[in-house]
Amino acid sequence: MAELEIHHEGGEEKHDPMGQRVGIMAAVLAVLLAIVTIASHRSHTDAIISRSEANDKWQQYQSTRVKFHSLELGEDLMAALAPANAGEKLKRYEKDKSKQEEKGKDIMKEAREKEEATEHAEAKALRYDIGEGLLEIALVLSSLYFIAHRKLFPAVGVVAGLSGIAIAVAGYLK
Amino acid sequence: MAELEIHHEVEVSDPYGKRVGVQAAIIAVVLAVVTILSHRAHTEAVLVKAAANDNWQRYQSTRVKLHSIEVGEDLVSSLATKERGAALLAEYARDKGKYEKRSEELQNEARHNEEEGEAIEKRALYFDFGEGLLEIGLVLSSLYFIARRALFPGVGIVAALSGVVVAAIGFAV
Repeated sequence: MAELEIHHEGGEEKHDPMGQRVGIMAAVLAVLLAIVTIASHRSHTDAIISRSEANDKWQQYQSTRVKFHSLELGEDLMAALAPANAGEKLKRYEKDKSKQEEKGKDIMKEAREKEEATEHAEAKALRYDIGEGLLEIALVLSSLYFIAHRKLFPAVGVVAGLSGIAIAVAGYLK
Repeated sequence: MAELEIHHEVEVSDPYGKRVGVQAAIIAVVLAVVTILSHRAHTEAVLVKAAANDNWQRYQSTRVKLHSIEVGEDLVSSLATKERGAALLAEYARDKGKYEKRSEELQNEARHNEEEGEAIEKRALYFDFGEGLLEIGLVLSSLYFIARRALFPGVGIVAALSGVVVAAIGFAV
């Protein structure tokens, strides 16, 4: 009985080569959808990690600014309260100030790079998200063929799928 | 064999089943869109919260600088001679005003970021509920193909419509 059933269905499938093609297309779309979904999630996580690294860099930058400010204050106090003995220390403060200033600039540059990386990752994620949505729509429309037996569904599905792939690839290349 | 044939015939001549299939497909598309919106809202909330943290940190640095100036002011006014201290004290007073203003601005920015983060999370909550209801709608609609009972897609459509409404409220929040 079971054999008969298989034979019967197999025979029907042979009469519907379009159905076979749509089935393969849906499977390919499902694989691509899985890849784009993972890429989207990874890109969002990248954005959060970059933003957290940018915060860390800005914190380091603020520390160098506070140190710089403390040195300025020390300089003022030395000059105001002990001008006779200040010479040596003021030289050191000046040197330290330059060092902190230089370090602050470097850290600020790194922080800005991390912020740009965050924006870049989010721009990529947006494209992956749109690609994911279109691929999802393509998969559903293609599957509809098996219920409605109308070619229109997989045809629109192909368009949505190709658009989804193009947008996801644009995200990858960005 | 007879059973199988009947099964085959039901599938072929089941217009209601076709409608349920289309219904499930539409729910699946809406579910995909709402799921993506929910994920994006959660990520945005985390990024805005990070921006708030950053602004609070800048605020704290400004307050530390202000505090250092106050200490300097006290030391200069207590220990320095009048002619040496006057210029410094005037400069410190100017700096204090500057840091006070800056810290207030940063505090406002940080609070604004926090409020924005909360609003986005609230929106994400609606998307999450919408996603859940749409998922229930999809599963119940699909159950028709196993149980062949119209009750499942009936309840499924109610759940899905509720999900769409809840997700739409998320946009309005």
